[in-house]
Amino acid sequence: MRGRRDYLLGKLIRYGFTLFLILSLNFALPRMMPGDPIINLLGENALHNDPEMIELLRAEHGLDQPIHIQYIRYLCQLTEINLGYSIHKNLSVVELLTSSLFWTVLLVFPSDVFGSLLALLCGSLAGFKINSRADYLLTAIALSLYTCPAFLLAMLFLSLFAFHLGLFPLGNLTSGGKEGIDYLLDVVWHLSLPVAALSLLGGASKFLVVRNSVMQISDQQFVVAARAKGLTEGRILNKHIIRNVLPPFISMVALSFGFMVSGALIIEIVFSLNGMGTLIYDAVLARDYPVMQGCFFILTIFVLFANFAADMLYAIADPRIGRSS
Amino acid sequence: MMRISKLTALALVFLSLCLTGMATAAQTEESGSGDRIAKLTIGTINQINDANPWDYYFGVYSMMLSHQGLVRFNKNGDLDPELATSWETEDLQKWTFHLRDNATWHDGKPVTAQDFKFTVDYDLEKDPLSKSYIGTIESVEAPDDKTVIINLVKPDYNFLTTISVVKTIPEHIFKSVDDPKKFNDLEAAIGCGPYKFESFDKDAGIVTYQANENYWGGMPAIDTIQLRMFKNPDAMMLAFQKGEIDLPYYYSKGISYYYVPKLLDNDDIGIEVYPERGITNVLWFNTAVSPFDDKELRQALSYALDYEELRNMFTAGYGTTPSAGWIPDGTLYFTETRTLAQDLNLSGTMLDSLGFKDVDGDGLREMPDGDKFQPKLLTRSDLPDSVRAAEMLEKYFAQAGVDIQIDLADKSTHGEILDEKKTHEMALAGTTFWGMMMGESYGSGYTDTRYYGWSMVSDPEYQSLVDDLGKTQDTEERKELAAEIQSYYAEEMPQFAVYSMNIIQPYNARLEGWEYNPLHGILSYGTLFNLHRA
Repeated sequence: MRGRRDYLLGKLIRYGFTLFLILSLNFALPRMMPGDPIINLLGENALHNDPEMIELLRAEHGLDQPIHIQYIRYLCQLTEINLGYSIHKNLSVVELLTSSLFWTVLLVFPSDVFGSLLALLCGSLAGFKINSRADYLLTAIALSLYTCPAFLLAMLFLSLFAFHLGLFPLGNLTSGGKEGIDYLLDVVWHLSLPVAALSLLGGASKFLVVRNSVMQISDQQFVVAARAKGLTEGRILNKHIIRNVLPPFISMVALSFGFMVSGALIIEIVFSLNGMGTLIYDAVLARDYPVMQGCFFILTIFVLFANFAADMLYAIADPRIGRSS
Repeated sequence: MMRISKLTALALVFLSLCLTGMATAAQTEESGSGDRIAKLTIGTINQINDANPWDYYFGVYSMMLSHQGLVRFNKNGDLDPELATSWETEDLQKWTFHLRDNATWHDGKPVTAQDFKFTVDYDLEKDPLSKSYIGTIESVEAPDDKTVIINLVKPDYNFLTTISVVKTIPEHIFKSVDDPKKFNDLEAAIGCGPYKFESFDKDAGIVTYQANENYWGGMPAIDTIQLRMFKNPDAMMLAFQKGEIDLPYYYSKGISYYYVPKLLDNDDIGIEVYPERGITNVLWFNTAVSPFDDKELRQALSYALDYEELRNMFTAGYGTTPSAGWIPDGTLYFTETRTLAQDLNLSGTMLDSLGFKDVDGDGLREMPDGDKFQPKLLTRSDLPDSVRAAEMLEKYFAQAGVDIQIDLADKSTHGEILDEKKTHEMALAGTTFWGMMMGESYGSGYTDTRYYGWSMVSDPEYQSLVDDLGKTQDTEERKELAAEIQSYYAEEMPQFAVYSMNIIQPYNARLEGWEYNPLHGILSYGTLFNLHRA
């Protein structure tokens, strides 16, 4: 019991230090990039770059302060969950993040769940029935999807199911002007295609890992012993093999959940969705420091939390981990 | 058996969800009373962040639909009266505008000269960026409700162009607003134009405008205009082909030529090709740094490019190559100058005479002092056509023995180098119609160091031509000055065109009365009032 508590405490301290380090990097990295948010803001409409005007704009966004003052202000703002105002979009970063994060979670969470379940089911089947017709077929499909660029698959889906068959809309999150249950159904209808595309793309890579893990474990002595005891093939797979596949699978799924909040840029662009992917992409292109910092802050929290959860689940899935620590 | 029935039930639920969604899909409406259009849906990839006139693209669409300035561009690229019915100036420094009597804000209050004075003062006070285009205004006076007097710090013939993009805002709404960029209230979108902003559904990506029944110019031809935003041009073009949108629209440019063959098969789609008043890709030299301060080197390099191949490759027959005088054909007082064409022999001879010779026998020329000649070509990495054009230039220059180095930079870095640091040697970048009108027009905003100055020209001879353009009202004199500026470009070549793509604009052919203007394209004032069912 004490071992488990020490293990947990040690992890918490390490995670706290990592958080501080990453937050500092989040501040430094955007400012180390070439490019200037204010010059970017001027754009084509500016007749000329008056130095006084540029200084006024810098002051408006606090960029005229020495770098250490900006850093201290950034840390203070973080403690108040005040992430500032977007330089480029003129909106509060918290407001931007709340909206984008909500839609991203709605898009990526079901995709991760469906993709992971699909990978676990098909990967176990293919790995357990290695070199069978089912294995060849599933592996061929998974490899095709794995090597298919996300943009191509998404455009194929859009062209086939939305344009030619007319089963789904050509993009966006809703049709607009709906309320209540109609609105919910409309959102499900709009998200069906992107979720399907993202599930297949995410499932394909996990499939290959699960298949190979199951294949390796199937050769081990305890599986032979289980078979010798007369257990059914289904029971051997479900009770003995999949249990051993779980730790690397959990680690993979946890990581994908962690990075979930970075969005799915390509899918968001193809299906015209407002999510974290496009928010981060636009912020990086425009050197929008407050938005970049806000997005990376949320990303950091999610990744650390997902890793922490994976560590905890490891200890449950494999009790030896906690004890040895 | 149990498992199969569960799967079937799940599939049925999914199918019913899809059908429910399909049954409620939005449809474009054309039917209205008589020839009126009930709803026009415009697809765009321009992204509006909020219904705030200080948001860049919302501001652009406000200027077309809901807000007005003193004057506006017409289909010929000239300026027509808008809120001002007439104007006069004697010295190009003091401008007097007379406003129309019957203009009202969307909330019914009258538009007054005081509103315009407030707009300029407020913009200058609250938005530092406004100094970049109205910074030359010294003061604005409103002696009565319908007269605006604008005093400039110096004479400026081109002032009408500059003031055309200033959208008037209502004083009674904004006088109590301290930070307009954060004022995202419905009232922020109140204007005095032919359309009233109604709503912005961010999740659906739809901005809705309704016709303003009290507009001083009468009811526009379309009852409802919806902007539907896409992040992906391919999805937008699919929606257009499917009839979900009536017009795919990009602010200040057309669609890519590779959509055209598919669209030509569709009888419900019409396509117009308009000449571009900007230039899609220009090769800029930093004339302030050696060796590009030598006009003969710039001329020698201009003979190295195969303009015909570039035009075919990047415009598929929908483009042109502006002549050495750089100003696009169709611009007021355009004059013919040398046609740009490849002549590798002449290029080589000129480079030889300048001392750029291959000394070490590697097929590439060295500088006159024997150092390697490897000029950098700054190019936008996020524009695929620019990257490909840079690679083609690398090939052409290599044929002339010049080993250029492509320097890729994203939009922000590219802008920082060209606009602020000026550390480039050569650069590829396009110009727009509005950009060509900047400064004293004729591309002076891009050329003259006193403005953007991408080619860093501070030659007194050139600056004197630009200044004279700003001071001269006489038509004949202006014509001469315009010709001299074009000759200057052809002779000095601080920059030259690589190729220019025309504007390809498809539209719903079941509607007629589309009108194009060089600033706003097909979404012009004329279209709003002339559109009707075919």
